[in-house]
Amino acid sequence: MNMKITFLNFLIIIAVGAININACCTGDCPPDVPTIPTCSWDDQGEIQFFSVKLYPPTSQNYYGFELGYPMVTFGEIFSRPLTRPTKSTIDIATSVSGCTGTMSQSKLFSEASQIGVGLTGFKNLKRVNNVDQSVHNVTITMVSGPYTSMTNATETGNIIWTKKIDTNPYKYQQPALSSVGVFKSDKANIIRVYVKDNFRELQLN
Amino acid sequence: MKKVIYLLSIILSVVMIGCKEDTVKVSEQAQDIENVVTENFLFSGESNYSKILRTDAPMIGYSTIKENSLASNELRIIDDVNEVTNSEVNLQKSPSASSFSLSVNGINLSELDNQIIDGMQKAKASQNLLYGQNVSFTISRSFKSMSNVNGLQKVSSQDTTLTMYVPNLVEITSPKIEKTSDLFPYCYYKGFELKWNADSKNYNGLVVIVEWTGMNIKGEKTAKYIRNIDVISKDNGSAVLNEKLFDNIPENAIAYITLLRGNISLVEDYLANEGQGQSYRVVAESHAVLPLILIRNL
Repeated sequence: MNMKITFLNFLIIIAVGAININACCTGDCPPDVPTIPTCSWDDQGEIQFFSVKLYPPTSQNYYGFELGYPMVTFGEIFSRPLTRPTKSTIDIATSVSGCTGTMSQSKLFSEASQIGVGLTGFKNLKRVNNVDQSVHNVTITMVSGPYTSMTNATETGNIIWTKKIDTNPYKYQQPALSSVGVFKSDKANIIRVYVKDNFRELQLN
Repeated sequence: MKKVIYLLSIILSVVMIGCKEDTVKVSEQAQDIENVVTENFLFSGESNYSKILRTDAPMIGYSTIKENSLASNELRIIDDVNEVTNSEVNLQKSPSASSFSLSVNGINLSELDNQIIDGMQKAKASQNLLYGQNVSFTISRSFKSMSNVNGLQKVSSQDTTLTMYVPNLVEITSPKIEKTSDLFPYCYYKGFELKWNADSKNYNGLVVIVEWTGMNIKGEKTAKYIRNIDVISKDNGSAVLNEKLFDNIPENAIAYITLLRGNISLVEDYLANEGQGQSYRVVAESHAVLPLILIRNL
């Protein structure tokens, strides 16, 4: 399947290149021709967050983190009880690795009403994320849930955030390929670990 | 606030009841029915946290939480008495009116709670008065008895004051977290040295809790809730944690260390002479949370 997708990708890239060459011949060349991104897919991979910030209502302070944390931590942040009711703002920026060029450092900003969250937050929070990819367009869909309100056990649901990211360097190109999966992470396996009384950089197996 | 009370109740009640290494498995009704809570109490000695607790006494006082090393302190008022009374009034079960208030160093906690909604502002406004010193707690209660045949009500009131040392706000200083990208540090469990701001006047020690809600860094969720608890007897600023605090928590788990210190006193038989005997637990504490990703294999 992956081979097929890769092959189709290849064909599309070739076809798009041919169209562009033709467009240049007609005098409609883009000023700078960026490198066509090549994407690899890995079902075991994950989207890395650039930052996740949860702003409780009535506060300028946020709970969150930045850089290189997998999506699971997003859910975990929400599984911590919130002390204030109603509505919080979630500020998410994603960094998608595994593809070159235009797909990295993409950002997503969402606001979510915490329906059913009440005073004490989510429970049973799970997370599913889908990434719908075309050659130059990415739709990231994140679903948090199903959750159950901790103040009203009959209240359940999902919270969905979606974002279409137009990374198309040539506006006249149309998406020609879609797939579902997650981006491969190419993050180095070297991490800072607190050992005994200090942080050390270690490579984990 | 309910979480704080819940946390304190669990910590203190089991420390008092058990005070020995023991594993208790109970169904946690507030969470997923299938979840199993495993609580492991490592401390087996005497602690002030275990001396003064009574499960039949409502808790009053205050608590400050620091959700992570970069978060601001948030002060929360603990008031089991008025919460219960209010619910009774709402249900029209109370046969007679009574009022209850707690003042701390002259500050009425209920008024403080009403005037400043935001917990962080509350902490800023009051922490210098409430921590790191001997704190005076005054419980005031008035009670109106039912009208007699002449239509007269008897009103009783009584103040009780106690003073206890409330340690400084606790803060975890190592692992030192300086930026948001480090909020979930990887931590190796063996020889884990935890450091905090010492308080030489605190003779109660500290409570340290390691919790795991079943989540790991890969997004896999296990229907488990692990809570291992120990007491650090000396408040000298550092301790190597007992490895057993991390028992039953797997590699790459997203776990939470909570470090708590405070003081608790029991006020017994308040207004007992009016036949309205009631004991209270007066508590003042602070706790800091360190989220982490557990590493078991280097």
